Amino acid sequence: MDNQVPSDTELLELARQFDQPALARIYDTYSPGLYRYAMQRLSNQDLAEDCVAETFSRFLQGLRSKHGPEDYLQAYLYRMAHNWIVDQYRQAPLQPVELTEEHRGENASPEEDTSRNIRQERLRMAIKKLTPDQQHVITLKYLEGWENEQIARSLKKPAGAVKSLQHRALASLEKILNREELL
Amino acid sequence: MKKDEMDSKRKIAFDDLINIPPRDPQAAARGRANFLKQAVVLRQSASRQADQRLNRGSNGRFLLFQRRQRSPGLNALIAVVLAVVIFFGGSGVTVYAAQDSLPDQALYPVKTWSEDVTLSLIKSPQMRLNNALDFSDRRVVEMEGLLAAGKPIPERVETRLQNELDLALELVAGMDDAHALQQLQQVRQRAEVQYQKMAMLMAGAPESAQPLLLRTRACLQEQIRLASMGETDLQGFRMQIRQRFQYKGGTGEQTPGTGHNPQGPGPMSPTETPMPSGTVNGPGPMDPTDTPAPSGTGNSPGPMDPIGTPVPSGTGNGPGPMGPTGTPVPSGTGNGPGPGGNQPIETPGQNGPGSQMPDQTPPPGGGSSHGS
Repeated sequence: MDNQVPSDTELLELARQFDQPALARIYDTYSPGLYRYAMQRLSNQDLAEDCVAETFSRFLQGLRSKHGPEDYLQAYLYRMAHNWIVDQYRQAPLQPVELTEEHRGENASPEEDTSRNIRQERLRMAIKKLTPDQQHVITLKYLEGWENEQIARSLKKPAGAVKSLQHRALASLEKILNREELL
Repeated sequence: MKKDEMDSKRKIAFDDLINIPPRDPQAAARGRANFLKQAVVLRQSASRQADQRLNRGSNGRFLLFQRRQRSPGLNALIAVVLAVVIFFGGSGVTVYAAQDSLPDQALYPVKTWSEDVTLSLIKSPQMRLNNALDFSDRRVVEMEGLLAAGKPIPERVETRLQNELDLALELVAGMDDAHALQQLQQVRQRAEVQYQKMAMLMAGAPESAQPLLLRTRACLQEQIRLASMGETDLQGFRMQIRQRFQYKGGTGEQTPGTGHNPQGPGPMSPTETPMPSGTVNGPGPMDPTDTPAPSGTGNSPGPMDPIGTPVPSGTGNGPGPMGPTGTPVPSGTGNGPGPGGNQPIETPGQNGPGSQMPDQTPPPGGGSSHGS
């Protein structure tokens, strides 16, 4: 019984009392995914760390002011992260990321690495040209593997709205990538 | 089929993005530690607030806001209080709006009125001093504003400034030694700043404004001199202040509510007409603008000076008229109050302006109030 993994609801109940083990568990459970999500959106390790830190900070503030999540903790945290990234875009548009050593693959040949890096950067740049909500949907759907229902909860929108958002995002992405290939 | 193919191609492309550089373990550990530290801080602050809320609740300080416990009678009372607040709130807004007005503007009388009321309501000498100094700063700002707008400075601005400076000195003179020394420094420093400001204003002012500015500057110079003197010779300063107001003889226009006893002037307003002096057998209140009655014409101590020292100047049976500071002015050979006289001693701050100061020095000439 002791080893039973507590549900989000149980964790949240404990987190509202600022229970340290519960909060540590929440952090350990969700911070890797949030970091990955932030990296995919921001392509910058420092910014991604900032995003994770700010997301959890807002979560604590929410708990304190009793405006924190009632349930669906994961959706709540990703919404916080998404909002933070949108704020970042508003404050200063993100600069294109240069290819560095950290992008280098370990097992592929230099040609394959280069080719893949170019593809990655092209796709990243194309995603960044989408609206913030479209970016959120694409990242969660195709990079994090979320279901539409989960995405809907994180955006606080109906699942149908998420589906149409996703379609529009893909269409835009297709258009952007095709246009770039022609250039 | 075409759609599936496109999705598949896209999937491959997205798969490329899934591989991101691994997270720095140290940064991750730091982030975790910071998060848990922040949680501890917030928990402590949340529990403090909860305690405060609990205490407030148990003390019943928020009874009015506890909707469920309010009685209908209390509701009516709250409604009346709110109505009063809204009504007077409007006046408050007007007074507030007037605070930045200049002498040529419609709201200026509201501003000066609010200053007068403030000074007459405050009893603490320290607070009155602070207000007097603040108001004197306002006068300088008003002069500056008028000059900047190319408008003439009305005489009453200068007069008010002088009265406020006088009041500041009077108040300091009435304080205990340690306090007075401390406040004299403040008075001097404020006057020095105002003096410098005045010098700057004079440099750019038109010819027509120069006389008034010159007078104001001289007044400030005198203020600095007196305050500096007080810092080195407090008793001499007190003497000078007393003589200064004695010399003014109650003819100077006083800022309403400033009173004449630094320790506690009476509640008389400048427009208030005092009891005529000499009509009763005791020192009566006196308006600072009163003209002293002929000395020694009755059995009363006669008019008093503003700080309540009797002015023995007559030859009659009473102490005679008082000077502006209430210091007895030995000017006659009559039967004014002398040592051991029966003249009642009053504290002006308690019994109204124009009353005799408790520490007044009986004038030479001896004799009882009622003469022999």
